[in-house]
Amino acid sequence: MSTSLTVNFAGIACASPVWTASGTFGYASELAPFVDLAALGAVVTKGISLLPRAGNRPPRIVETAAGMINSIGLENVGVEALALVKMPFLRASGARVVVNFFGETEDEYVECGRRVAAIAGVDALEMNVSCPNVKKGGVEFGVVPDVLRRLVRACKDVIPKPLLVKLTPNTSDIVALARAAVEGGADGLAIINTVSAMAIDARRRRPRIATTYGGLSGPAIKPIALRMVHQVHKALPSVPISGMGGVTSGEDVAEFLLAGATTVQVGTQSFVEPGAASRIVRELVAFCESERITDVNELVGGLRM
Amino acid sequence: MLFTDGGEQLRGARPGQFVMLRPDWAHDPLLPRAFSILDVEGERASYLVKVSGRGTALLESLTAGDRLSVLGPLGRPFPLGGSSDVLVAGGVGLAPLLWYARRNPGAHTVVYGARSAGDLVLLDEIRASGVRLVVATEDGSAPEGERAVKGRVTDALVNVLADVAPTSRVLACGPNAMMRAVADLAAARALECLLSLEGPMACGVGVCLGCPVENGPGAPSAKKAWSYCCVDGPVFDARTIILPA
Repeated sequence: MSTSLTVNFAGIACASPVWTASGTFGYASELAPFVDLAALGAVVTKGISLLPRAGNRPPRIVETAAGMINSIGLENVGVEALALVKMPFLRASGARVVVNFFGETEDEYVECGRRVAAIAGVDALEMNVSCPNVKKGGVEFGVVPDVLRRLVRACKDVIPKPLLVKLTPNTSDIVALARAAVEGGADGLAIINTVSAMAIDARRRRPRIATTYGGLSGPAIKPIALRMVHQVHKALPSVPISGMGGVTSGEDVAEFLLAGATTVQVGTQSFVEPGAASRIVRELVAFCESERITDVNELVGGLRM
Repeated sequence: MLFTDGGEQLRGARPGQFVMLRPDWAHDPLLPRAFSILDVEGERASYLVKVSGRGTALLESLTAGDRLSVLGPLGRPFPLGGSSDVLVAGGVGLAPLLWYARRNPGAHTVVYGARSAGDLVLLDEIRASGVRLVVATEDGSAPEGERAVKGRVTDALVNVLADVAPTSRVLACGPNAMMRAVADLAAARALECLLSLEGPMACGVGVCLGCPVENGPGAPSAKKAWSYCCVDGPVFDARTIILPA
């Protein structure tokens, strides 16, 4: 028995539901020796801004229980180098390409989104809204529904391609953020970004990363991510969700699909083993075969309550 | 000492390169650990492991036959070719330097420092590689058959550098404070100095961006703020980087 893995996410035809998460897969060429890119549903690239960014001072990462905290500081090559240096490889790879982007002001978001959308070979865009709004005292764009709705609308107006909004879990009401993004024009949602966290070195009495707080990822956050995907899917069943948070196996992918995701992103596990995404695709096939599932779409939102 | 067997992937590895090692320890600890390669013979590779946390403690508890994943060889090695180099080792930083001495025999000097004589390892192997061995211990204790300079490795290095050829290179691996002092001594005598760094890496292949090293004025791409320990190093020309505190 063979299983069909193809899924359609907001108009993007994907070879499988397994995507790679932004910031954990570079611009794909770095991990290409370990992964069959064309068998993935899509590659989501490292978050891009209008101009290159150097990122934060080290230490930037620290391992924690079943996870890690990072504060890279959105280091990236900028939109021009993405188009000229990184895209030729991505176009030739056979992978669907989703470009994650961000700005420090609304104008920057809009201009960056407009320029990314104009690049040939970009299939969709994913907005990172967990970025401090420098004009509003550093509060993240993605935590206030009205601010988020307005930002998404401004970007959607200039982006003629499918637009995902990647939601922060650092909120008391994920559904309110999801509704705001969809009202602003989001074609899909990516749930979740990293969980705000810190680690302390008690002997030195210092935080373990330079910026004090960072984003927790890895298996430690999977239960939080599943809950949020499920809540949003229940409230907005017709909105496609790309779920993520601590995915390490094909069965984890199935769990996210059951909670309501249409695609599932592999993040931190690509650090643990660079071939993780390909292994997870194979495991998903094995899971479906053992469960006698002929079409992976049967799993989407298929949780029994 | 840890050994891995199987596979030919490390056959082409060179001194200074490293691997990411990870036993099947489920999700906790999560990340693989980076180790400089001590030697490769056929399908067997060896590493020097100092227990410094939970991951290395779990590695130490492995027994013969246990499986672990090996990603490598990774990073840029020491360029071979020196005929009378000074190899400065602090603690487990000995690993890449001893392998260098074995792979690239010559009239090298190994300056090897530790807190106490009991912390020095592989002394027979160092002697067998044909190098001159100079030992420094902070407490002044000397291993059997050797004399020891009482003090830091740099206290011994000063004397060694006083009479080396101007074409000699200084290769060092150890704590950052040690390497900074070694680089200063080498610079004062206008000697080429190559440092093998350690960085907090999650992936080892240039994706996590966890191991930036600040570029110095001599960096090949001075416009960039950082190089990465994993893919641009771990071996750097001392003039191209600014060592972290």
